[in-house]
Amino acid sequence: MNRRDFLKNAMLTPAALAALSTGCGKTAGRSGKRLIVLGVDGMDPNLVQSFVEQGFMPNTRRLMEMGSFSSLGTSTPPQSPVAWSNFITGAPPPVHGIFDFVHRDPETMQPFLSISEVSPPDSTLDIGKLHLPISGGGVNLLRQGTPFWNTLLEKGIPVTMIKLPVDFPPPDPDHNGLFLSGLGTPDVRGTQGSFTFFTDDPGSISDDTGGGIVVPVRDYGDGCYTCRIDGPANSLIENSPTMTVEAKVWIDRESRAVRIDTGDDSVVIGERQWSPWIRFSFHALGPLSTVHAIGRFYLKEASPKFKLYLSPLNLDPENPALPISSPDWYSRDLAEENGLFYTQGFPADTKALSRGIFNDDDYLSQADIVLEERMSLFHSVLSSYREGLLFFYFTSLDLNVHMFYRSMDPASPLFSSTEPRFSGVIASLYSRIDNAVGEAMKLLDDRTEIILLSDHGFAPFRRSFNLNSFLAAEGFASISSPYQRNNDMYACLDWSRTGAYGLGLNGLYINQAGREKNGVITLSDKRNLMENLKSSLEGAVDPLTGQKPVKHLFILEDLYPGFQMPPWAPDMVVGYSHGYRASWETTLGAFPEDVISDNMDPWSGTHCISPDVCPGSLVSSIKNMPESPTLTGMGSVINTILTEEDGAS
Amino acid sequence: MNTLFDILLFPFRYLDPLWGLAWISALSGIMMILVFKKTSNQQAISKLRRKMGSRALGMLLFLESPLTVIKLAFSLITDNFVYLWHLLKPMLIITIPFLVTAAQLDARYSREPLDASHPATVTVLWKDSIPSAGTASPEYGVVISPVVTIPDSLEQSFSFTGTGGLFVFSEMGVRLGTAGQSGSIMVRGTEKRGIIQSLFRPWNGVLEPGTAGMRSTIQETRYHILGGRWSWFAVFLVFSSVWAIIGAVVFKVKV
Repeated sequence: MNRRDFLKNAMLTPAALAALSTGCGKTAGRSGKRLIVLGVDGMDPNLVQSFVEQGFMPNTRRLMEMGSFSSLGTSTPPQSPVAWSNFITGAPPPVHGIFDFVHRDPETMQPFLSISEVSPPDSTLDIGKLHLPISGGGVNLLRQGTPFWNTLLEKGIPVTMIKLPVDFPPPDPDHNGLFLSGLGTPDVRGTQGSFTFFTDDPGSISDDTGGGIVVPVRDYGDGCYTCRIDGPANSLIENSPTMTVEAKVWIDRESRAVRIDTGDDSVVIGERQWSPWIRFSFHALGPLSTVHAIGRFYLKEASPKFKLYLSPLNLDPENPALPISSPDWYSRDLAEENGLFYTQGFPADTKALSRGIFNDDDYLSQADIVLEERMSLFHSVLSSYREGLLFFYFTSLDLNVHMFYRSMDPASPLFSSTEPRFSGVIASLYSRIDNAVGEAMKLLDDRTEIILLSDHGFAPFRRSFNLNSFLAAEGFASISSPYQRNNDMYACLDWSRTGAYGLGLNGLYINQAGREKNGVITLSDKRNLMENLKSSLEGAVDPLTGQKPVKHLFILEDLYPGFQMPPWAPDMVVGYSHGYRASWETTLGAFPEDVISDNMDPWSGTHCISPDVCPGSLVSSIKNMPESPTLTGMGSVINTILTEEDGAS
Repeated sequence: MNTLFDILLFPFRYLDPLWGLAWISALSGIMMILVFKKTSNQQAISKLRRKMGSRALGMLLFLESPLTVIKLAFSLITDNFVYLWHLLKPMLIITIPFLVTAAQLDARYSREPLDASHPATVTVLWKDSIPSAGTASPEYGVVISPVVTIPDSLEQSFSFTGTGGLFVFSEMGVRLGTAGQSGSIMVRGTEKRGIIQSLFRPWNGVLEPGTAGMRSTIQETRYHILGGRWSWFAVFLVFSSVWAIIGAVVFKVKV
């Protein structure tokens, strides 16, 4: 049948419409190898072993018996952006340029997120207060290097990467790959997740903006709270004012419920109920330029105090303001098939729990929504998967183990205050991931393999190490304004007498002359200083436990000899011991009084420590996996598996 | 009328909505062209079309004679009015089943089926006073929230969802209030608005004495065709038109 005949026949049947709409006619099928890679962030090999033995993970047990199980070498430091970048590029940080969650610009000493950046337009047309972009500008992925899947795409092997970390914005759609961005994807405000909490409870109101904002609201007697919802900044207008929409919240204290009216939409929820996804439209330039967002409300309390939580405003996958998938229609198709879903990189709201906006039950109910959505997405993607590489990423295990490690760690300072009913939370999570493994295993046949891998394992976070305070106490940094010790970004420092400073979760920097804004250490003195720091930090002892908080201090030029380091790279990476981690204050350059203190944050599990303490996991249907495998080498392993039939391995 | 269409459309209710809508549109297009054939003066239309063709040809042949061209053009315009007159009767006759069908399809294909991810919120506006106890009990579907009462505006609202199935929306009904004072929300209510209105807006049917109105937030659905997101009406219009043209060729209908 020629093309004309096909079109003629196609026109004659309504069924052709459905066929065209479902894409049946797009590509001819080809029989090739299939590889399903489940990327489970933070899946710990020791916990896997333990839960398999306890019977929580029967599918994973079958997979192990069929193939292999081992620990998987992680990155230095074992942080997700670094580790997944190693996986994607098959290369260490000096190649892909991601060394930590947070980098700093040595010229300004300002921190920035390492994964992506928003650049302003190169030129604008200014009409009064209006700034219309003409050229340039946009979102840029800061990860460098060549992704391993390029080899597959060049050979015509289909690649589908769902919620892939460190891939925002996704690659240009000039290939047959399908990409949906994961970790690193911001909310519409450009943050990694910023909730809004509306309340008339004075006790809940604070100036703290970490992870979200608390907005005071009031009922003027008509039973209505007017809630102003902040969206993104309007860069088209002078001074970039924040765009807002309004929600009217009508309260019925008797039935302990509210009706929330937003635009044309309306929803009723009772106490401890979640709304479905609500759409918000922020108009930057009337109807000509609109930012579409989605959010979910949670009524924490209706009475006596009003407490209404609004999730971070996610990019609407059906109409994203920033590119989150490649091709751009892919996120829309997934949303139309499965319903709206969290698009932000960190969907579980750990900050709301850390700040006391959520209690454990609130947090788990939200985390459950995240995991259910992800499972639904997985089911959908799996059902349409035909051949090539399918990578699917699960974030829930990592975020929830961070928050609930305390429930299974008797040595945690928060263990006694955590209700015993939460002791099974982590086992239950592993069990649900095991369900996904079981679903994937249904596709196993002679041309299909499965790999289950993680970027790192986990360890308890019992004691906070204030790296900068240690540096100050040991004379590596000098404090000139003691009353500003707790302020961020080195407000208390005398830079002229400071040799080193900490930033991020593992980074340690030399205050190098000619590189840092106020640098004083010459290149000739740098090596000696780094050696001194190494012996000093590795020799430090926690007076309370008698343990050494720092297991290894890695000097990067020794770790990666021959590589040219970019200016934002740290000079050293602090590898903390089991039970320790950099304090939250350290990550943004503060100097609390105590060098080491108990970690009283629900964020009680960590992996930002020495890489040998928390390797990842590797379970596979393939028996002959490499000995001592590393995450960095897995891209090459995947390419080999998928291309060996073509004789290209 | 609703029952009649329930029976007529029964074969399509278990199909995927897009397929069902496509087939119904195709059949509607063919039916409309057949009705057109039966109700129009085919002989007169055929004769008129020939006449119009000859006048157009005449204009081309006598280009050197402007007066003749103007005369023929005037005749052609007159013929067009006569042609429209011939179309008027069949089009008027077709309009009635077309509108009824469109209203019924709107009720069945314009909204997302209610499920856990697509709950709807219903707000009832009371006339004089609100029932003392605000409870909602669904005949079909599940109420998933308490009833919120807003005394100042005499409103009661609640969210509910369907129990599954593509066509659950055509059967939902919820009673609100108490035994002494209650309002029924029939999604296809006909009690108050009369038959014509309920045919055009089957979703908004309300209610019993004591209520002033209702509104709901059931989401509109979109059909994915060739990368676009089509409304049900666009699908219906395009498919019925294409099949009407095909029908005109197959059944030799002069249009």
